[in-house]
Amino acid sequence: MFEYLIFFFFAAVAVIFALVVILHRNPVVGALSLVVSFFALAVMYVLLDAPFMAALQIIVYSGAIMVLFLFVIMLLNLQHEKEPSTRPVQQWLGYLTSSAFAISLVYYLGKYAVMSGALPVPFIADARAIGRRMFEAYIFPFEAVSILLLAAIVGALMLTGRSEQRENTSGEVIR
Amino acid sequence: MAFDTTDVILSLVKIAIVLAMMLQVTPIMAWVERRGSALMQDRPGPNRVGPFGLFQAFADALKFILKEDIIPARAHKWLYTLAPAIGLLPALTTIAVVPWGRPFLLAEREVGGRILFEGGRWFVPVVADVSVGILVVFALASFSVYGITTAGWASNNKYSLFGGIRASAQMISYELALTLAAVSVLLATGSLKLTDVVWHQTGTFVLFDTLRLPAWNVLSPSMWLSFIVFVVAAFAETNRLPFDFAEADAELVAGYHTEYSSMKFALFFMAEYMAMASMSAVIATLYLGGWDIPWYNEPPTFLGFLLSALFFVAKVGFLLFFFVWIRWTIPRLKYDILMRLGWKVFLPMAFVNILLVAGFIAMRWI
Amino acid sequence: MTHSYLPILIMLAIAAVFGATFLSLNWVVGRHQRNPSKLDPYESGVPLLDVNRKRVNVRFYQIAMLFIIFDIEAAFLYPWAVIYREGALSSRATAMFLFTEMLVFILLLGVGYVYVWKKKAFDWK
Repeated sequence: MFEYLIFFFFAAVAVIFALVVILHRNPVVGALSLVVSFFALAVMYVLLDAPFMAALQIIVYSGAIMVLFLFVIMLLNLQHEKEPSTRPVQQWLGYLTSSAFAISLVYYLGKYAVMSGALPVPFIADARAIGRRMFEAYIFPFEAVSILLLAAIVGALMLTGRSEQRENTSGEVIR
Repeated sequence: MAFDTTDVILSLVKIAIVLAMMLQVTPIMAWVERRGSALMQDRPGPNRVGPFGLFQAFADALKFILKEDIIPARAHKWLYTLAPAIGLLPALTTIAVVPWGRPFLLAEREVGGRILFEGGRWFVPVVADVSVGILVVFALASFSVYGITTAGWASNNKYSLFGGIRASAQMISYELALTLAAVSVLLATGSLKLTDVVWHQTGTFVLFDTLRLPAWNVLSPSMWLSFIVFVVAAFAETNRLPFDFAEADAELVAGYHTEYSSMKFALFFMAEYMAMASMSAVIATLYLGGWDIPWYNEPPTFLGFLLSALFFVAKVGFLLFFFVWIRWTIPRLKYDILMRLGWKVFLPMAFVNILLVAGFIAMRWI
Repeated sequence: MTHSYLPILIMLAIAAVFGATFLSLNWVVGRHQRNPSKLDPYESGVPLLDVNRKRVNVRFYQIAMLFIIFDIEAAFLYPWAVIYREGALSSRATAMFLFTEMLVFILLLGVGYVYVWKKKAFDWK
């Protein structure tokens, strides 16, 4: 019973703050709302008996990726931007795809979701179990991840390195 | 989830104790910092309110409440108001996963016709003994970036923005060093639980067949690199001198809280000291044996708990004093030096130490 | 085991209540005497020169991206650290296996690290 209370509270938090992200005009408020939404998701992971995932969700998403988002917002100095109005075709396409997605979501949830007292725990997701699986059964994907991260490092430098020549011409930036 | 009344009450008692301790930290540390700096600079320091200026903090608190609460005209009202509270959340909560005493057995007893602690019950002095302990610390530490960045951005002031941005870049860089340094300890322990980390450090080991030393991580020959990295990164995480680029009084007026006044400023102030205390508690737990008393086997009784808790508080107190000591001894670095140190020195040091500890374990030396 | 996380939520809630109380107390008790110059942004006593929310250097963005990458690497180290001791003590072969596995992972990322170093991305100017 109590679990449901916590679940529905944080589900509401997650949805409301996700809505703020897309509806609020100020991008910084949006980014911070997304952090709150991520935190609510982490609580769900804990409720699903996957605390390790919950911790990583906060450390990687809230702690690292959202800081990057904030930096991007401050880098571009976005504020109360009035967006140029989109074409009607784009709007209708947007409505169509999102409603199609919503309908299919409701349909599949109704078909497969289980609303029973006991939460089915299909896997044990603590750090030890994940470690055993990853370092015994999935060695190759694990090493492949390091190649992926290596590519990401090179990509990160390529993305940001080009502006180096232009840096001196504008005195408007904070360093 | 079924709740046992005794469990709930014990849990609430633990929360109350921890909160009481944490709320004392700010007034005490404010006094220690001001009197300590005065001592080091050969001047009296605050000495008017109470004996030795002991009640200065209370006078300050009263003043903070009575002062005008200013929200600058073009600031973002909501975020400006929320930012100090955001900073307080991780600072106060981190301590929840840190064990602060030896577990002891509550014997079965009868009070007013009701049997309490049926069959005996272990009192584990940690608010939340969770399986991912240390990761909770890091997760909350990653939240503390937002208080400062939000404050800096919402104030609509150049100095605030400078301070906020610089501090967040500094904090994420050193958070990396912090987490990687802790991996060494986790390797030696083989668990993420902080209670396991402390249990692993109880007892003694013999160094070079001569010295019988407590089995604290800091004394382990494989762990000193990671200890240095962790302590330095802890200073940077809590924005203390020599890494206080969030404030940097000389260059940025007061950094991210330039526009803050009255209680909002006080909340930042409190959050800083609480973060320091939590960080000291984490350092003590990871490296200084937590509540372990050297060369002494604590009995699982109330006395053993009390002694160990006192030892833990003493260790945290020493580390807090160390924070103050360093602040008034080492001047602020330059920002480029800070970033270079974090990425070029401490990061590789942490990695080397991880491989070192792994090697030691493979060779069965620890 | 879920309920062992509940106290953390309670602590967070208490901290939030605590912050809210102090802020509202200040609002109630504190003075309210406003004037335009008091509400101006602080600019060392001179009139405001230009916009306050300036654009930040791209370097901060770069550092944040590098942080994400190394943070994800750290995320892979935790499960390894947890199983390593038990595995290493069980047999020498397992110890060698687990050690080499992580050594390869760290060395591959070390290549990236050296690349970043050579590109001078760690040097702030």
